[in-house]
Amino acid sequence: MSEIIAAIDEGAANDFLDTVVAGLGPQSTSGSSSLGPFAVSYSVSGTLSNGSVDLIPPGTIRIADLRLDWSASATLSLDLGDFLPEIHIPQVCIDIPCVGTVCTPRIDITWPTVSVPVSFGDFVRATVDLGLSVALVGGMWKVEGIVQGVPSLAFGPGTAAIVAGIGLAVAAAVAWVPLIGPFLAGLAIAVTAAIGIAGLTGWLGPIITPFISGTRFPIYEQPEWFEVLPATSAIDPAVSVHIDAIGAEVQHNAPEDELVLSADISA
Amino acid sequence: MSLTDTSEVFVSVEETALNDLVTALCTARPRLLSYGSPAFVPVSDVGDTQMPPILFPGTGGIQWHVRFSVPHLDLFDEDAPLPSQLTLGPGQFSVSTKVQICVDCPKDRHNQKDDLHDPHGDHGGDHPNEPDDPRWDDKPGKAQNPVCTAIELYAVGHLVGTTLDGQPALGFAVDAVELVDVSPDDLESVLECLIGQMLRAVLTTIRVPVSALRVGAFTLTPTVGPLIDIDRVLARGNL
Repeated sequence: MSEIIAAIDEGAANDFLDTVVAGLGPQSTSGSSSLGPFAVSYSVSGTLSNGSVDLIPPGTIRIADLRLDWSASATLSLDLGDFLPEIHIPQVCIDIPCVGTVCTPRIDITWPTVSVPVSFGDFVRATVDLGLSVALVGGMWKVEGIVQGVPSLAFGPGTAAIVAGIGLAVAAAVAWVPLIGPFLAGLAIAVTAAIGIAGLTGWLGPIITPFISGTRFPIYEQPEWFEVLPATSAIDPAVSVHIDAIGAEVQHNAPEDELVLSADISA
Repeated sequence: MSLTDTSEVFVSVEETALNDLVTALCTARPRLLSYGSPAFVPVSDVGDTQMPPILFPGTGGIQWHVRFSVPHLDLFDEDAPLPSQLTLGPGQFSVSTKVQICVDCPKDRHNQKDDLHDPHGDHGGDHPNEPDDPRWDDKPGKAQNPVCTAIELYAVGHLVGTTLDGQPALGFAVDAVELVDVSPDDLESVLECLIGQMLRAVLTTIRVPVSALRVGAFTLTPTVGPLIDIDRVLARGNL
């Protein structure tokens, strides 16, 4: 039997993880990939908020509705020629008496490739199961909750609006292109269709999933030599004990499920 | 029954761990157990706490030194045997320790030449020294002729909630004291009164922060305890 036991019930575990998750801070990543037919360079950041905690013996902390608020800044590189019709105005020649033959120039409009910066954000929810990991690393005892498996993300209701917003942003960004005016509305629709909700979520999923699946939730972290009292003067030095062992588990002690940490110490 | 019962947080500490915490405290800060006047303790340091001499006319102040060994705690129920005069009730702890008491017995009224053949010298009393007499000879001081004795001491007491640097802490209060192998009875009574006061004072300086009871796990604002259960201290409360 362990010398020291500290336990919290499910309600306290919920409050405790509120603090833990709030302390994780934002995460970010950047890179380049494809979004629908577009090449895109991006930076994405996300911040987690706790959901509701369910303690499941013997070693699982389930967090339902763990929320990740994310925001993305991306630069889409798109060839307008992929969306707009080619325009070819052939040469026309007219014979004019006393003047001769007069011809208009042949006109071929080649749509440019443009880079369009867009920013958008929303949230996702996921239910995750945390396993308990206990380790002594570099003189520090750590108990962490580690996400088991790859969580399934539930995107927020704003995702469809984001796709439409990207289409409009693209249309606005290329309004300067000569002769494009009549095609802008169609361009927005075409871009929206090309990306699609599935395309956006399929692009975002692999980027932001690691924000959740790669997170280690700190439950306990103390030095192997635990400071009982700090030094208060030259004749009152710090007092420490050695933590010989740490354990962590979820116990069902009727009627409660409890998160239980145990420790053995020596002077 | 759940560990937390109707509270959010539960902490329990077995008596072995409590003794480890007390031992760590007393080992790192031995001065909490050792007090003496300047002839024995020239200056307060990690090992000893300097106190004034005992004022008495014509002596210039009686030099003294009192040192307790690291106390050993036994939480109810009784595992460590106690003298028959003491009983360990529910909610109580017992403490056993040894107290060493020294006084300086100046030799200026004696023929010091006679002392050269006796490394312990004459204490100035009726009892000659024996080779294994307890002496205060492990620390340089100005005591001319220290005379010491060591007495085994047992006490029972109860826990008290206190604070340490504004944080909740566990304290120890003494209910009864018993000395071993002291006679006659009236001398024992006097010494129990005297040493009991010292022990009470010493134990008030030994406080264990609640944060140490849970070795930094979670947080705990106690609403129940700390109190003594069977061979352990437990507390319940909120995050």
